[in-house]
Amino acid sequence: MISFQRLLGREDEFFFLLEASAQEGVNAVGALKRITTNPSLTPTLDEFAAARRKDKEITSQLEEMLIHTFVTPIEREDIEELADRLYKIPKTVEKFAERYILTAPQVRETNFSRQVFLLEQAVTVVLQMVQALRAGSLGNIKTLQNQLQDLEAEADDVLTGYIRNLYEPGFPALKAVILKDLFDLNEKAVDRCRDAGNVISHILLKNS
Amino acid sequence: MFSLQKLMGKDDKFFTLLEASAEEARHSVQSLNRILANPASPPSLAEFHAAKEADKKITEQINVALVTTFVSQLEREDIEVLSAALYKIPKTVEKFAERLIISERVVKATDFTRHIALLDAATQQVVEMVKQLRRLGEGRLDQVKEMNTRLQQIEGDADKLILEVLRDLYSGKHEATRVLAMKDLYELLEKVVDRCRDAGNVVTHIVLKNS
Repeated sequence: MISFQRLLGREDEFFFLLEASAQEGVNAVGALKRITTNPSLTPTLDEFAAARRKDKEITSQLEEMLIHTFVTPIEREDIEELADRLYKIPKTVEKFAERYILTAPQVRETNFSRQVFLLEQAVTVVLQMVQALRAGSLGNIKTLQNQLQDLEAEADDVLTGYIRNLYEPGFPALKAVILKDLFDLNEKAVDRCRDAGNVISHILLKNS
Repeated sequence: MFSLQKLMGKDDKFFTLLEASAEEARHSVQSLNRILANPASPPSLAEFHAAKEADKKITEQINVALVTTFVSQLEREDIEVLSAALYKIPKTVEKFAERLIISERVVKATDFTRHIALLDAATQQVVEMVKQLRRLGEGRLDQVKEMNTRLQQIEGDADKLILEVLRDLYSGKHEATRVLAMKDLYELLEKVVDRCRDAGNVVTHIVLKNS
């Protein structure tokens, strides 16, 4: 029997998958916190790769659903864009982890805690924004978006502070190149969160 | 008195706010020009920070107005996209100024004149393009497209310039830390021009939609 409900709308499933994708960003940052705060452990990529792979599966599921569903709760291209932005969060975190593992002997003692702390907050706000998308409250989304913009601005300031040290006389040039790359990647992950937040706000403005 | 026109957004304050935002972008580049023209005096972040903060306030005002205004001559999502694109210009200029200050010791005596000329031209073009939005529906598409082509040309010139300066950086005659710091600075300047190009593309898109 043809189910019209199935053909026409699978609203809950879309929201559920977007939330699951945002959750993978939170999981990836959790793994990042573990490896950067325990320099004595030998870091591995397994957890990061798992979070990114899971997110990729979710994105593929969303793409498939978009093909087979006539009516979507928000416009197709917006769902696609949001899924893409959410996927980029664990992907960027994984990229950091790859470089961190590659250069562990040189950078193991470096303190990344301020950046990781901001990133942890940013992924949490993104998850809250995706959850708030169901309710569709523009005021609430705008408040969360402002929080995200503030976190991104703070991450910029933290990055400038870190880079200042790299330019100090006598700082080893190779270590400066490696650390700059790592600091930039962590900051980029916060930028990815801000981008996802901007897409959510844009979707709500279009639909309110 | 209750103003229906105000409620419906016909007194469009968005044009004024967007123009003010574009002007702040231009001010930040003018500040940059001043500090780079006087390498003897130590640069201060205050001017850039003021331009970025002013633009941030404008962006916040736009955001509040987007939530409280029912109808605007421009679509709300277009206003949001343009406002975000404009804000990124002084923000990137401020980032450049911060990096310049922290790396002053290793980058001193660098000539940024050609970059500044491109930034000046790009922000001027953005200001002019944003002003065209008030004349939506008056058949300004061709003029806006022409302005956007000029902006793309400036962006192309900035791309060529970065290649040229990178060639010099990779020549082997510079100390490694200087290469690292200079590359960062050149890329940020190029990014400012990219941000201007992005804002120009959004304006063109809006005019196209409303033509």
